[in-house]
Amino acid sequence: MTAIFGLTVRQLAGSRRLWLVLGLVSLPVLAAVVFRVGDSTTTSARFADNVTRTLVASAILPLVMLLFATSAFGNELVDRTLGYLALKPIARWRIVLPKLAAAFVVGGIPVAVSGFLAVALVGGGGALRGALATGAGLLVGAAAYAALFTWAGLATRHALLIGLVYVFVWEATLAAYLDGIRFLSIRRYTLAVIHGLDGARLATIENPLSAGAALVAAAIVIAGFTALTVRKLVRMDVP
Amino acid sequence: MSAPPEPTIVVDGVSKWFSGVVAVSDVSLVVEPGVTALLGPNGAGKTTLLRAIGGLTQPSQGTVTVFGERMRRNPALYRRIGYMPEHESVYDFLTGRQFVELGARLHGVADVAGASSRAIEIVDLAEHQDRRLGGYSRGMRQRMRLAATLVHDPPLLVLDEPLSGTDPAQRLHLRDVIRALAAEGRTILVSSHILEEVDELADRIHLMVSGKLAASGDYRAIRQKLDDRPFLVRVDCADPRALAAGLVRVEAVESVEITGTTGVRVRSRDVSSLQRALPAVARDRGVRLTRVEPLDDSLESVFEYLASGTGR
Repeated sequence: MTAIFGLTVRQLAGSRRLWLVLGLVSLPVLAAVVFRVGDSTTTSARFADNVTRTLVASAILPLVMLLFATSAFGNELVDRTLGYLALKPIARWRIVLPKLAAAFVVGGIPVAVSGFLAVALVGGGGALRGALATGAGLLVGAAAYAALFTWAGLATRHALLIGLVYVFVWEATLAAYLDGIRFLSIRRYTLAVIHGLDGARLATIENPLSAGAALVAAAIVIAGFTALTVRKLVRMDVP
Repeated sequence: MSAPPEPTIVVDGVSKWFSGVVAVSDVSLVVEPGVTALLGPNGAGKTTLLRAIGGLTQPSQGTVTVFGERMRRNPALYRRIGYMPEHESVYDFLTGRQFVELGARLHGVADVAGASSRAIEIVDLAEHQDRRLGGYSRGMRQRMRLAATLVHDPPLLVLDEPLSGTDPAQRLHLRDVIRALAAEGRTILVSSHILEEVDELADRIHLMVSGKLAASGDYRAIRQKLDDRPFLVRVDCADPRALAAGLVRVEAVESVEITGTTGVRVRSRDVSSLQRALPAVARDRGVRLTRVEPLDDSLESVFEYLASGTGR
């Protein structure tokens, strides 16, 4: 599996989108630096919450994961190189898991590090705990997004469009205001885990999920979409 | 008397259609050890059939068995198969050697470095193995893809248009490589759209046209069928009436049609006899020939003739 993991990391990290992603993940850190050197009237905790909630968890994390995870198989389908993996004597899950892991590592870790650094730089009381909670919550969200968008990249040619609709229509609008569907929002899982690990963070979210429920829901998303991806790869005609 | 060799591949009544378009129609064939060519014009359904044989696509109808096992959804069988797809796309960011080693690793080869070196040596690309594939010529890329296909030393090779994009020297080299691999007891199935290309390459030929199997046999049998078909030849000359009058007396000529003031169209089933008779008739009648041109000698027309059933 390490061969496919290494191959996919090189595919994803070697593309121009890496520069776009580096630009995106540097934004929270820049915002934190500006906050520290500037003369802001906002408290450190509120600023950290705003950066985490409105910038990192709502936009940067899903966008970065969308770009990388849809490409994990999407690139192979466009380049018609998937056959080089499909024509090998390996179980299909052994193709899917390393691709998923590569998308998580290349996309999720830079975003988690960015969130960690931003909250740590903003400072204030309990900054380190808040930064660790932010990083951990973002990693949970990254894993769930990776599973969802990797499946989408294999299942449809319109994965990017569908992903954007999910992130900016479903999560940002519907799931933000309709409590009944908050269990179907990866963004809500991310925020719930951060709040669960550090109760001082994101305390203003209305009707939050418990961290336990968010972790279970994220695990179901990860397992479910991974299984769907394997099933799709087994049944599809490989181009 | 020894038993006939067990077929490596059995294709039984395979059809494949895409949204109403039939790509392969009720094809049945067997492939035994040695080199077998799947011949046909572009769009004949060769690649679709090879993809069904390789398990990359599910036939709409019929079955494919390889080494006695169902091919589709049976990845373990790829240990015994090397499949080279038609399209030339590769991981451009890898070097040739990295590409071959990747194949070796995914096939579970024990000695990745040794097997890769041997495979690269076979295709004669050791000198260029550390260059990125993105910088390779088409022919070099084909050869390195072949190296990756045979790195795990499989008893069955399925090669879709392996000679495409290669220059004459590379083609000769690849042909020798394929023959040598077959001589070691492997089953090799290659596709091509060039009849002459498979002449010295394949022991057996399956001809496909418009998704159907048009003819099967060795090169000589296929060639005989081609020679038996009626040929249409256009002859331009100064006096077509005189030439036509002479040609109708030639036994090999089926019909002669005068076209305009300078040409005749001659139909014959024995092109060799016509070739001998034509200059003699022209000389006897004092007619100067200005042009002799076969009218329907394209490969497509040959295939169409065989597919029509008259050539079987």
